[in-house]
Amino acid sequence: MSRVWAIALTLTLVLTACGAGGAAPERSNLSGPPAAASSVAPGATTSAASGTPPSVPPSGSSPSAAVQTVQVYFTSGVKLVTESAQVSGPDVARQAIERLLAGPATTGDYSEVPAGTRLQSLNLANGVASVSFDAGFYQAAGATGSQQRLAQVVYTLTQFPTITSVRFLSDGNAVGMLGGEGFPMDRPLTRGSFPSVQA
Amino acid sequence: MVKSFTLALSAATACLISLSSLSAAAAMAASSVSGKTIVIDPGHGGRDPGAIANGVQEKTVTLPIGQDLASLLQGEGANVLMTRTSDVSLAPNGTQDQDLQARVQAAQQAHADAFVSIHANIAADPHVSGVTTFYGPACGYYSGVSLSATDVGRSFSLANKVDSAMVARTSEHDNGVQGVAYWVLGNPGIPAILVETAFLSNGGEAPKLADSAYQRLIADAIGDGLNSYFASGDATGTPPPPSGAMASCQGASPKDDQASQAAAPVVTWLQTTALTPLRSGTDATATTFATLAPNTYLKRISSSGNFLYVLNPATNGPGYVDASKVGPSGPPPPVPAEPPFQPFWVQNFVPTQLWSGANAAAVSFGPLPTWSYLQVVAPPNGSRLFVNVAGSTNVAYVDRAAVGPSGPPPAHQSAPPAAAPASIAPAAPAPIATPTATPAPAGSVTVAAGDTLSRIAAHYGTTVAALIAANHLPPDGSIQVGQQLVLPSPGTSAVTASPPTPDPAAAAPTTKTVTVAAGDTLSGIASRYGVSVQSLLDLNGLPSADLIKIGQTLKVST
Repeated sequence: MSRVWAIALTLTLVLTACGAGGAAPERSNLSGPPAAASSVAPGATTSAASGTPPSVPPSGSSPSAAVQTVQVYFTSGVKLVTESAQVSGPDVARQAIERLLAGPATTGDYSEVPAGTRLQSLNLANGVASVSFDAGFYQAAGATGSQQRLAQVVYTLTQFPTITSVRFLSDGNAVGMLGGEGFPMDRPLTRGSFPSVQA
Repeated sequence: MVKSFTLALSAATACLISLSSLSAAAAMAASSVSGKTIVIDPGHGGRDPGAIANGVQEKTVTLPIGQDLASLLQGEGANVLMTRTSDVSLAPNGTQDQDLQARVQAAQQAHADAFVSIHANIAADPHVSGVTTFYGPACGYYSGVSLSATDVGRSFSLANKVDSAMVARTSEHDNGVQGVAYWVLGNPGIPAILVETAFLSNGGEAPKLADSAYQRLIADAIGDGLNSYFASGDATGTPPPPSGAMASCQGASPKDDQASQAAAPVVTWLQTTALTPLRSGTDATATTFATLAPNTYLKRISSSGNFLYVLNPATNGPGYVDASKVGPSGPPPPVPAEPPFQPFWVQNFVPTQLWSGANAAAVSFGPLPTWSYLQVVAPPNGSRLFVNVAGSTNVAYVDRAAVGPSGPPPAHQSAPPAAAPASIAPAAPAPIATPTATPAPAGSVTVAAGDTLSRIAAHYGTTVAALIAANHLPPDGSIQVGQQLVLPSPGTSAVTASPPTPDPAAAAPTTKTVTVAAGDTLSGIASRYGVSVQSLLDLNGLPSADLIKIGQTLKVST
């Protein structure tokens, strides 16, 4: 657990350095891939991915000043849209997922994640976030709905530069595929796993 | 007329219903789906209702659309198989994986020309509407299969044509053609698409999907798309896959954490280590399709307990094998292309018959004049050769033992056949060891059991001394079975008989007249006189073989 904590702390520092702010909720249509990742200093990614906590916090930043803005992905029409959310503390990724499970705040936004879905665990190793949901998350949906549901989670988690892919689990076990169409999810999924999802 | 195949998959049994094509010629206005085998897969079924919204279940919509499409395609002459014709799962006691795999297996076992999976969509946003058509990319499937560029290109073409036809017929919003590795689209060698016909979650589209007239309209649209695809060159050509559809194999969807760094092989090859049954399922009661010889190459698709689901590339047939009977292997070596058959000439040196077939039950067509020039036009078939008789349209079989090597017949008009061309040599005696595999050079003979030098000399109109001289044989003239002997050429040795020239009467056919009797058919007359039906039609100016009358006189070339 301490390693995950350390990585999350690194993330916090990274996001602090980005200087993100603004009132929540704030919604925007996305026109391109990873918004947050592009504004992060490359060095931060390396340090976080190695799992080594920085020995000294960068000067000028305070670990307690940890109110951050993160993007949470919902749907509108066939597209993914983002809502901004304020989070604090080291476990920003977990909090972003909790915000996702809570549903959209903006009228006209929707979520393909079934209401009542519970987050069971979220761990990070070597750039792969392993996220476990209860079985309700994996109930069947149509082609569009099931892809968007997974994409909402993958897009929300991969905004953090330390996360490149997401492995889905149910009660801690691997999930082979989703729905009666058989969308493959037996491997870590990336944004590239959803070529037909528009974000 | 409903024939059912049984396909056991693990513990589950799936019935595939083959709907025989209608024989009525009326409806068949040259549809391009005619003669094609098309597998229709109504999505979901049984305990899997699929999407549910606005009081409509997906499985109850996909079935009638599939049935409408089946009748439509049958009427156009297609061979149609449906993965289900009632509200059932394809793996009633199995898993979702097995249900989906049974759908793929249906197409694989039918060697289908196309696979169409029919679905209805759902989205959280009730405003979302329209048609989406999916094709499969090269890889990324949970089943582990990978597709060739040709597979992807053809599926992409089919998806585009069906999507366009759907939008044209329904006027609904077009969400476009998308590549997603849905299980049922991982269908090697078979153009496969998944059509999301409309959104059940849309208040306007749900009632339409439940309406039988609209279901029929969707079936018509998919039928249009299939016809358009088979009418195009894409169905037999190699249309290009969309950009990115092949590249997605590496990195984008790694099988595991390490695979993103080290490019994992896309295909796993295995070889059988013993005689191995290829089964339809993973238990002892499953049907055995075939028994594979040791060292048979197999492409691994997925595993299920102690069994592996594999594709036999030699037959493109899938099935299950016991994992303990196979070992890792590299890919099979490329198969060298068989050299194309080269026609060659023979002549019959004894009177013989032409035969309608290669087997003993064949009908004979009356005697073939000796020294007829016969062009062997097909690879050897048992003891008979399939020949085209020079100067006629007769194509029939002749006994191998009656003919020997020859050059082509002399040209009739250009020069008088004063002397036979040097390339025409006397024919070899019977039996001929392997006249077709390696035809003996003109002017040579292979010694057969029982042959003596004097007999060969007599047969070819030469002398023992000339044969000994030409072949540097021992003075006693001893020869061995299988030995090749050069026949002395006419100019240099004591040949007493000239090589045969074609009988002018045989070369320039004459005709006789036949009166049609009760019970006669044109093919019967043709057979009796050793001529083809076509030659009778031509000679008598007849429009059709059906139109001869008793008492009618027919000219027959002899």
